Amino acid sequence: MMEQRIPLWIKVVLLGGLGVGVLWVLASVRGVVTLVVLGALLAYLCDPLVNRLEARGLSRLPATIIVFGGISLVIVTALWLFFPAVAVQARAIQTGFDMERARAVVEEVETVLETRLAAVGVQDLDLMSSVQDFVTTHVNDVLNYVPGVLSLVTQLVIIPFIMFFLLKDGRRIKKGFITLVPNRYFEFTLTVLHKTDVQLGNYLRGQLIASLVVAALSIVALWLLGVDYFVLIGLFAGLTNMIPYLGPIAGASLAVLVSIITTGSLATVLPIIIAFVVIQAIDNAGVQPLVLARNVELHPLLILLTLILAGNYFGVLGLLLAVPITAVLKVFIQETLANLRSYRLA
Amino acid sequence: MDSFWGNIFKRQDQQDIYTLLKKVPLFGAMNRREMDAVERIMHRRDYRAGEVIFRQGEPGVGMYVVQHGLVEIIYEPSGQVLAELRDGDFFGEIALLNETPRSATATATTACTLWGLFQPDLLDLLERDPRLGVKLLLPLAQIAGQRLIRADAQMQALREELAEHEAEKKHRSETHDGAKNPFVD
Repeated sequence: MMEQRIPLWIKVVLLGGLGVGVLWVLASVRGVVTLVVLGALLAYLCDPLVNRLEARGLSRLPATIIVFGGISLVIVTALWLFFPAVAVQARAIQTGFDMERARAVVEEVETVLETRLAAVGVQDLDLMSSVQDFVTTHVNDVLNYVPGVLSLVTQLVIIPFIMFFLLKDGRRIKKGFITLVPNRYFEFTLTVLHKTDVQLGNYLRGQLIASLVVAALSIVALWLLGVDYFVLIGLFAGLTNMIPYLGPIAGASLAVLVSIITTGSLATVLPIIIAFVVIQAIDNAGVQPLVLARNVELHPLLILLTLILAGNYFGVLGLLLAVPITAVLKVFIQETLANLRSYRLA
Repeated sequence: MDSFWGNIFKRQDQQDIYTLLKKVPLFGAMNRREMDAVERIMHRRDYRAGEVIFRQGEPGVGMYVVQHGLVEIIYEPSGQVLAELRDGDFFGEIALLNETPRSATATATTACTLWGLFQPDLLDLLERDPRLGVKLLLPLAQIAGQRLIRADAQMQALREELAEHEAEKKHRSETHDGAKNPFVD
């Protein structure tokens, strides 16, 4: 054979350098990257629907238009139904909680703590001002996170645009990229892409369905329990559901916290916890076994770190994408390493 | 100028791939529209003389059709040339059905243009256009079936030869040192 063997360590160094370079470029245009990734993810999730329509005899373009239109309709309807509630709830958070009731609860907690902890020398906790500080600074942080109206509008236009064209032409674009792969790595690349796709498709679609179910159940449960901001908390619970162990706790904690602060009593704490436990039980026993392939195991610690990094560098959209992207990278790297050996490339 | 526009519109290429695919039994029964759909999932690859297409023992993911050039199928490690393939020939088609390790190495003897069709794309096509998928799978199954029949016949012939050989050996050993030979029962 006429190939020259390049030592493994040089390959590793070169690949590492390439990886860092790519990351740097991506980080410097991260606004665009997030949009493209989100559009691509949505397209990927919807691909089987378009394929199914194609199997019914439609060609790709009409099939894409139907799926795209259907999803837009669902989203617009959901916005139309929920947006007033969400907007009111978001504004309510912005203008502040009912501080009087909150003050009563915090003061009650404070006196209890002060009497209990007097023995260890704790006096005058002044919890109220710290809570107030926390709420005002952090709620404002969160709201500032949400992109401004103008960029929100551009995103709302750009993301569906990207999604539509990737849904319609994704296969051709992928083929174009594969054409660029050198012959030596050609079959290897096809194998890695295919195996990654098989594992991820199920995982990501499963996560989406599980999140939607949890969000819907949480919204209904919190609404029945009369918790304020039930739509927002429910959506939050659905999103965080992707994070093992921590996610459900975060959702429940938020609901409990909001309920205590807004009602000033501990009466709904137990019902909320029971509701979240039941929802988790439904999710774990009824939904996840049906939709989730268990072969994509992400360690909670890994997810936590990714969330912190994604939140830091890519904002709210980054948080949304952190778990799916971690899964993509993990499966991709796993398959690459596994196949390097069978193709004797390493 | 001509080749420039030709490249952009891929007309010539398109015509070539039709005539190429028509020669391959797998695609022989297809009409233009179906060939278009198949062409869309095939990958065109160019190889230099001496370049390895795939190696024996690697996981196989699909087949190749030779458009131009010469390909040698080599059994390793003996280096025995099992087949020499040229324009319109195809190889590796069993990998479309099963993901099995390649049973031999394929090398481009001259500069080659090949068209690859791979299992993931075939499965995807099967899902999107089951009718066309079946049109592809049926001849593939027929080829596999014919090979099986041929292999069966060969095996039968070999078995008969072996039985003859064994009978001869037994006869010879009986005449030489009676029934004491432990290898004959």
